[in-house]
Amino acid sequence: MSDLAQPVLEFIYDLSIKDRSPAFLLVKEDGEIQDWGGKLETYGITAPGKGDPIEDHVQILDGFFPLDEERLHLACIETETGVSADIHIFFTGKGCWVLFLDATLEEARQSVLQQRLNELCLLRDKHSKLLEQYLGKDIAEKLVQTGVRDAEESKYVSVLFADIRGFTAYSEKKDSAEVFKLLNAYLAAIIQPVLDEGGTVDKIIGEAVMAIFGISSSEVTPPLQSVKAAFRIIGNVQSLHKEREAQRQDTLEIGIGIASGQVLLGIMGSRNRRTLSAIGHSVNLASLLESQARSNEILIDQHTFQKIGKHQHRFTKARLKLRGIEGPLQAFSCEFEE
Amino acid sequence: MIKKKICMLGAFSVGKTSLVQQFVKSIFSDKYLTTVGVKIDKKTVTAGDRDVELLLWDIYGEDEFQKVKTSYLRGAAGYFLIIDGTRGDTLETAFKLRDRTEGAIGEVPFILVFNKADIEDEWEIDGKTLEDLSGDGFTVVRTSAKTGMGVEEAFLSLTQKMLEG
Ligand SMILES: Nc1nc2c(ncn2[C@@H]2O[C@H](COP(=O)(O)OP(=O)(O)OP(=O)(O)O)[C@@H](O)[C@H]2O)c(=O)[nH]1
Ligand SMILES: [Mg+2]
Repeated sequence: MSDLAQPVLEFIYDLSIKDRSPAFLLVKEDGEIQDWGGKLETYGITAPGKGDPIEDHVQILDGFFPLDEERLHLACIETETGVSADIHIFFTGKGCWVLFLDATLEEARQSVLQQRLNELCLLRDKHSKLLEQYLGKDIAEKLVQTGVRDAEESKYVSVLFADIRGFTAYSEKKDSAEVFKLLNAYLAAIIQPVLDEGGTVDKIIGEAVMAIFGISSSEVTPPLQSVKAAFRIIGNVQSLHKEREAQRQDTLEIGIGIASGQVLLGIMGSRNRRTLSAIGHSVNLASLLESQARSNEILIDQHTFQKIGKHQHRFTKARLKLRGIEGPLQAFSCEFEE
Repeated sequence: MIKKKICMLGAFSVGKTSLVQQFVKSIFSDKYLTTVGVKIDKKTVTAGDRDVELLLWDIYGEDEFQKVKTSYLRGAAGYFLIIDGTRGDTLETAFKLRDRTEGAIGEVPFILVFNKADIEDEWEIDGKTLEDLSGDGFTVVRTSAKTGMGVEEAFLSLTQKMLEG
């Protein structure tokens, strides 16, 4: 500290606390006031007297003295005058210093961040509740019956990613009740077809849904299940659009990617909250395809294409250059009219 | 007059601020405005034949990014652990806070408050859990900061406990 020149110290003072109405009280260990200075009136402290107990002037510190801690910080605490203050308490040889700094600005800044984070957390929790509702409580049991145990196992599946485009931008502009209503509507439009075709909703990642086909045994092959689900998802979203447009409500677009192959399946988590996990090339590929899909487009990989029989004619060849994958990738696209 | 400091503790958005507002000003808002730091309110209640001034410390909610610091708890004569009945995990948070509080200021009276009783059909926490907790010796109350149900009783009951010491 001592090697900082006085002008530098003064500059730092100006920069950091000059506008924060610094004020202090110097008290004895038991809180008896010895000395004071600065803009105490900002915090509603008027006419302190030597020997007064601190709580007579600063009611919020009632019960704080004698202090066990070496130092203490109370952030953004509302004072008598309604001004938000940072209170720092620390000891030196002279006694115990109680420092007040105006925290109005800091509080405003913090408030914006905290509000958004908390609203996001609430939204995310509602997400996963919704998911559980759709999945039903028996899904975990079903998974166990179909042979996926705590140990991992390799299975041939189709992985589908459906992404609600522009949702993040939308959620930033609208209030959370509206956002949640919209999200509910779209998630329902996506999740229902997945379940109807025998798929499992693996997770909702932000604004994207990941579904897996082929976990429960079925007459229909996973690629066929997934493509049929994709057609119905697009159909659902289109009718949702018509409805919402008629009511002059906002609409969002959706893109879908599907890939098929062997993945490692496992159940993770505790007894109460078991979640499925799938690891493998097809998971990454489906996600990549989804990210390349335009609005109202389904992009599928070659493995999926080969196994969808009569539905093949609805797809056209598409060569994609994907980051992270060498050479162009053969994919197949099905685009729907707006 | 006797003064008692009470802390409102719990996860974020469980209704700490709403409960204080309902108790002190008989108002409620559906809009969620998170609390930064601490807001302090006062209300005088009569318990038995004594007037007690309650200093209500409405503290920011505990979340994944921010733990409640124990320095705010100094001098508290009692506290509420607020739980949002519609969010099961807020009960876990409440118990974490209880442990931290006892570590910091020792055993002082507290009450488990299950809030949002006006929307009990959306609750994740069932009646049995509440019964079990009462059975284990916890003081459990149901409140609605929205309708006011149970709010006054909760504060009076904690005041009583604090006076009994
Ligand atoms: N239906 C209902 N809603 C409530 C009740 N209590 C609070 N809320 C709502 O729940 C949300 C959060 O309430 P707050 O009182 O701000 O919660 P808090 O615990 O102070 O939140 P933080 O300050 O962020 O920790 C608000 O939207 C309230 O309107 C209740 O009893 N019933
Ligand atoms: Mg609050």
